[in-house]
This record gives sequence, structure tokens and C-alpha cells, in this order.
Amino acid sequence: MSSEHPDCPPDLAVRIRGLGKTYRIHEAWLPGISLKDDLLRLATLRWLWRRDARREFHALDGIDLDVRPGEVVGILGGNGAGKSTLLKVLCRITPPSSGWIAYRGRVASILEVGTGFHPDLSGRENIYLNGAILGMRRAEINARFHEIVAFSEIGEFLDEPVKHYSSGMFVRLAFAIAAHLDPDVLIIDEVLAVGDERFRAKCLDRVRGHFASRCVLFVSHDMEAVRAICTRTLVLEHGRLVFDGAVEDGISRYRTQVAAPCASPS
Amino acid sequence: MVRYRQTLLGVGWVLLRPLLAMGVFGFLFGTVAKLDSHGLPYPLIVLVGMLPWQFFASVLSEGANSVAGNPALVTKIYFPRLLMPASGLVLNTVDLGVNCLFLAGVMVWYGIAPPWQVVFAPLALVLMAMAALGAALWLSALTVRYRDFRALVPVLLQFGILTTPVAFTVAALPGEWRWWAWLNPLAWPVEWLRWCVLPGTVMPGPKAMLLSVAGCSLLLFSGYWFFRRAEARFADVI
Repeated sequence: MSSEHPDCPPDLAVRIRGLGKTYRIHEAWLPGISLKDDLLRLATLRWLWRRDARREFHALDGIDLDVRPGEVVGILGGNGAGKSTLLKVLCRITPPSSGWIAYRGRVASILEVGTGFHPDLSGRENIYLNGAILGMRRAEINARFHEIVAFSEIGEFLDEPVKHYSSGMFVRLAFAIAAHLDPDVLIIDEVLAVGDERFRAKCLDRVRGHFASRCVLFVSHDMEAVRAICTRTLVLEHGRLVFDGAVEDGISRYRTQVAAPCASPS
Repeated sequence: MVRYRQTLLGVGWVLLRPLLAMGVFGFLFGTVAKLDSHGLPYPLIVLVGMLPWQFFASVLSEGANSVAGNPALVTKIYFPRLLMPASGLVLNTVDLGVNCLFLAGVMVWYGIAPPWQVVFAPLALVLMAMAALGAALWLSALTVRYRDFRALVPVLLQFGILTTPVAFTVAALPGEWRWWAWLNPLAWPVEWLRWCVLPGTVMPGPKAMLLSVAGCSLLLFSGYWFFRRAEARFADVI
């Protein structure tokens, strides 16, 4: 996916203004999503006055953000702070309820490693399949094929169906594909914690090296990883951006947030 | 060809459905009911009807569940959602090709050569593809929100195979009923394919063709419109 949004100034990689995401909360006394309930609501004209009776939950609320190329931004926050929702909106998986996002260049995301792997296909075939799903062109995959295989350390199992892989081999291959993407903006959710310690260090090195000139948005609960690669941190709380600044300050802000009881609504 | 991995017969499974249909429908409609076969072996009438029907049915049923059946893809990766219902089109075109080779083999075996109009046969398949994709777009988007539509698909297909001239020709129907058969936008392409491939069958008329082109186009464009409108919310409601 690529876009040159007119609202994104040339010196920025990402610009976000007034971003919000609202979900309706299902309550036991209200009907849920089903054909029967929706038809009933239509037929009984209940939608006329009950429409706004549902409680709303603001997963994200008025986020403003500018990110420059070359910045590696760590997004911190306790459970339910809105990190994953922010990433999903950034990846265009789900539309924002308010506000807008503008990008300069190509955007790629890794929210989970190995999604879109077909268990019956071999490692080799999955490199092509997954690469295509993540937005690589065939020629790009061809050019990087050997690098990907070498990075994954899969070796002789390349032509084995991935369902016979150990879970370590599976995530190594999946990360290797994602690590050879060539986007201008890369969005990563907690996926660097793959493989053993040595492989993890290699993944962090890869993000630091390969993606250094690009813009990376990175969600993690692993403060060592954040310290190792980030140049800036954001802290989210109840869907609001409560901190934006240096890495160490962000980490201590995050630590006080999660230490406080009932940091997130149930 | 992931579909036939770890299967014994491999691509041979593609041929099983038309073979079974040829046997069963050939016996029921040809031998028992003795419907008009235009001087051709009845199983051949059925086989030529089954090719476009099986293509339509597979694209439709795989497409209808393609989005709701892959929640991980929808909630974790961004890519054009349209590819999910549309991908069945590619896969089933391969199956269709295999079936066409099989049909050619059966015709050689019966010693029947196709008439000159066989070159117009692809027109029928284009219309079938439009209708199948259109219906798959509608059903896949609806299934994401309402799982009721998952149960509707087999019912639709079962009804469809008997109301579309798959195992019989429209000419074999009593005169006053033919009009009803043509109301189905799939009737014209199936009959057209039969006329293109089998000598001695009746060419379907232009009115039925207009109806079919209009129906299939409407299905495709409305399906596209509905799918594009619904796709933004897929990750929220799946």
C-alpha cells in the first residue's frame, strides 16, 4: 500500500490529527448483532429512539502526532490503553471514527507473525504467499529470497510444509519475511519477542539497521527492546496520548501508570 | 493447487463431481424421464451443463465464506479485501480448464465433433464468472455480519442446479414453462455453451441473452458496490 497524502508535509512520514475510535458497548438488555435482531429493530421502529441508548467506549480519543523519517517511536501503555487499536487504525485495518491519518510513502505492518501462512505449503511457497500478502512485488521477493532464507536459519527445511515446522522455525521464517519488507513506514506490534535470545537480538539489530532511515512505530511491553531501538516514546492512557518525548522519560511514565491500581477500565 | 495437497487422487477430484452428475442426472433425466436429448447421448448434455455450473457453484460457495472464514487475515493484515472473494475465480478457472479437457476427451470417445460456433463458448463463461463473483461479493460481505447467510448458500445452490438448465435443455420443457426458465440469468449462458459445443442443440434467443447480460452485470456491479461499502467495518464486526 502506498499513498502520498496531500495533508502530509514533505518532511514528515506520518501526520495524525484528532484521531478517535469509538466502539459501542453491547449491553445484555439490548439486542446484539444478528439478522434477527436487526430485522426486529427495523420492524418495530426501535431504531428511532434506542439508537443512541448504547454506551460508547472511546478506545482512542483525540490523538495528534507527527513522525519524521528516521524516528523509531515506541508506543507504551498498560492493557486497554489503546495501543493495539491505534496500530489497527494506522494499518487501515479498521477505519477511525473521527480525525485523519496521512502518510508519505509506502506503509507496511506486522501485527502478528505468520498470519497468512498456509500450513500445507512449503516454507519456500509461503515466502512468496506471505510476501505478497504483506505487499511485496514478486520481483522484490525474488531479489531478497536468499537473504530471507539465510536470516530465518531454516536451512534444509525450506521445502517442508510449514505445518511440520517447530514453533521457533515458524516465527523465525515469518519474521524473516517481514524484516525484508522495504516500506517507508513500518508498524510493528509486539512481534520482536520471537525465537531464542540470540535470534531476538538479531531481530532488534535488523530493525535498528535496515529500518533506521525509515519511520518505525513499535508497540512493546519489553522495555529492554524499547531502550535498544527507540528514539522517542509515546504513552497512551485510556485512549489518550499522555506523554510524547524521550525514551527514558516515557519508560518511567509508563512504569508509574502500570504500577497504579485500576489503570484501565474493566 | 493447495486444495489437492495431501490427497490421493489430486486433481482427479475435480472430475468426480461432473462424473457423478453425468451418471445420476443422465440416468434420471435421460433414461427414466426420457427428456429430449437432440439426438445426443444424454450424459453429454449433462456434462456440458455441469462445467459452467460447477464453476459458478465453487466460486460462489468458496467466495461467500472467504472473508468470515479468515478472521486472522482480516484483523491482522491490511490488503485489498476484494482479493478474498475474487481469489476463487482464479483457482476455479484452473479446475474449469481441467474439466474442459475431460469434456473434449468424452466427445472424442463418443465421436462427436463440436460445431464452428465453439469459438463463442467463452462468452458463456464470462457471464457465469460475472454472476458468480457478484453473488460471492454480496454473500461474503453479508456473512461477515450475519452468519445466517452461511446456511443460505447450500440452499441457494441446491435450488439453482435444478432451476438452471444444467441437467436438461430448455427446449425439453413444455412450451409455457420455457419463459420461466429464461428468467434465471444463468439459463442463457448454460444453454449458449451447450449450443456452442454440441451439434444439433437449439440456439438460445436474443431476448434471453439481453436478460442474462443485464442480470449478471447488475449482480456484479451491485455486489462490488455493496462489498466496498461494507469492507471498512469488516475488522470490527467479524
